[in-house]
Amino acid sequence: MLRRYVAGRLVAGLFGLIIFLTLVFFLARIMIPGDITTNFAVGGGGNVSRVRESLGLNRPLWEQYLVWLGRVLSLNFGRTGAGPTIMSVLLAALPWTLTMFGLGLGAAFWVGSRVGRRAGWRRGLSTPTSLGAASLSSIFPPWLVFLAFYTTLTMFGFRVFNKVTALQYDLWSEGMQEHRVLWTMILTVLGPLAVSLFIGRFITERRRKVLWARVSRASIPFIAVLIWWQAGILLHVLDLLGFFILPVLVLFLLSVGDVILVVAASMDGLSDSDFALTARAKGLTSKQVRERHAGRVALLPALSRLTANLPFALGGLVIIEASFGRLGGYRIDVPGVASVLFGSLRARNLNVTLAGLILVGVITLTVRIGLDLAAATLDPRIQLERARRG
Amino acid sequence: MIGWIRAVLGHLEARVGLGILAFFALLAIAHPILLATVWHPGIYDPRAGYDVAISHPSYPSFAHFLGTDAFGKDTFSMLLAGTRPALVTGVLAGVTTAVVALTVAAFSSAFRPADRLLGLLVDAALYLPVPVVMLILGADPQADRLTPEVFGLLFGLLTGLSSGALVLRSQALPIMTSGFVDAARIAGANNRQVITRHLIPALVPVAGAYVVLGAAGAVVTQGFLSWLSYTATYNDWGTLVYWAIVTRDFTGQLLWHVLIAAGVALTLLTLGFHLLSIGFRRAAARPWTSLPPTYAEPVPPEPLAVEIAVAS
Repeated sequence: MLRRYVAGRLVAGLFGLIIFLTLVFFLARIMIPGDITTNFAVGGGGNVSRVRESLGLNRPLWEQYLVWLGRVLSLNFGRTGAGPTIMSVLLAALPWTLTMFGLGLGAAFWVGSRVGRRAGWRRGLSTPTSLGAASLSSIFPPWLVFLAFYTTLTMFGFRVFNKVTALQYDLWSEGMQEHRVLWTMILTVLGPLAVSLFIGRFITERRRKVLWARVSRASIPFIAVLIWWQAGILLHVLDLLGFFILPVLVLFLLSVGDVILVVAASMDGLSDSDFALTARAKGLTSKQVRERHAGRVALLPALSRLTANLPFALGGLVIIEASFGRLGGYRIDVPGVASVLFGSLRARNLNVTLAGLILVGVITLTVRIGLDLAAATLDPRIQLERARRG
Repeated sequence: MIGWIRAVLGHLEARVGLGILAFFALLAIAHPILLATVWHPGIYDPRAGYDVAISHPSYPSFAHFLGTDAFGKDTFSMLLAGTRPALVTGVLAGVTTAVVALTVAAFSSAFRPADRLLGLLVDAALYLPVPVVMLILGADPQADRLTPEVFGLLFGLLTGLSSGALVLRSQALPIMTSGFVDAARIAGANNRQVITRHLIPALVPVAGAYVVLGAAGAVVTQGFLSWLSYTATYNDWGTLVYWAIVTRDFTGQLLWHVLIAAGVALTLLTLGFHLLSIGFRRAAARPWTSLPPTYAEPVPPEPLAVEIAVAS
């Protein structure tokens, strides 16, 4: 049932993705004048037209579109001009973005739902909460918060950012690549988590299931650190995590206010609802009802809001990455997907831009399916409804 | 309509938000007047003003409330000049978002075949990271496309098509299948009447919440893009931030007073939009109490079985 649903969503999502690709292709080709040959137009007319011909840029637009679509569908994105394949460039950029997105939004949801539950219990969205949360989410337009941090701290003579933002040179000089370490980091955390979830499916008894979940999840950090230590990348991982403090903090501050707002608003009236009364009558404490029963219900609107806001969440991520990269002269860019997008836009390397946008689309699709599944686990009614519809 | 406005303004957040927006509107209006009357254009012009009496950049003083930047331009004047593009972008983006989202929701709930097609379109639009699309549109330095008006319209169009339409479509469905719509249909209302008299009034507060959020997003994104000099505005808060940072390279000092002024202005405007949005959202959370009087008639509760037994 679940598998069928995911497959259905995937097919529909891929179809939407192709429409999106078409839009983006024509948008980019029509709106951005010139192409890759504009960069060396000084070389003289003959060379430029020869290069354009060899790249197929002189053919009609629809023909280029069909060729490009065919290549994309066969997952052949081509090369970035002279050097590596576009695929490898994107794969090197992806873990930066994923780590930022995952850590920032995860922290925002974790903290935001807790604060929201407490603030909204018995009261709903009170005026102080709403004022506080709204100012929290509007005070921190991403680039601004960084500038504010930066200026105040450097004004008082703290050299925090030079330390936090630049990686330690001698640690990375032996040819260790950051993106490899990041991928290892992500996989060593997600892998044990997947194993824990998978084994948990086969445990039927409730008490044992809870016990397994607690024990296995508590041991994930230890397993991960052990693997890092064994692979000799522990110091590298710590260095990278230090690098991530600032961007993740910005993303966290940016999204936590909204989560608080939505969760607190949807806690309204839940303390008097039937299921809360039943749970209280069975002897649970008020806190238990709030955290386990009402809190789960109140998290649903926050999830669906994130689904609707994904274009902005990812776009905001682009803004954050770019802001960190552009603060004149300091080497503090986050070399994520956004940096690839910016660089290629500047260089008129549209193939890379388009491939980057495809990657953003794929991330969106994955996150949306993940959010749907999370909603279905939180609310069994959603699952039932889907089962009925098939 | 008046019922709506009253319902929204009944919340403190909405009043504060509207107050902030009105304050900025006043600032935008005040700037040309100040330049014409009090301020000497040679000193206070936001593009070319220069005060020969002092050295630049200077920190806040009596003659220059927020100091001057490295080129000798008055920060306060530039800040006021940047208010108009920010407000225009925000308001246009908000209104466009609402109109597009409402149209999509109305069409897809009225005509089933259109629903499939529009659903696909919304699905595809949800993949678009809006700031990146705006970057692509602004990437042509010769065309200078992204004036505040164009920026607001396009941002609103994209937001309305993606998140706005997604939310409003899902809200429209329960309304179209609710009892009062059935009753209206039985009384002889056709599709058009159902949509204009029942669906759209019921959707307005939800749309309002999204309008305002689209506006806030547009203002922040526009500030960011003009910081990257991808927009066609030369006097706005983003460029203020940009020059404050760039001039550090040759004056050796970071103009924190300029940065903070632009930052506070942007934050306040965004806060105003956010607060107004909360007011709308609160009005939307209790649709049946805040609907216009024709809808608000309370339904008497059904008597309990016990009461019937006692009465008889």
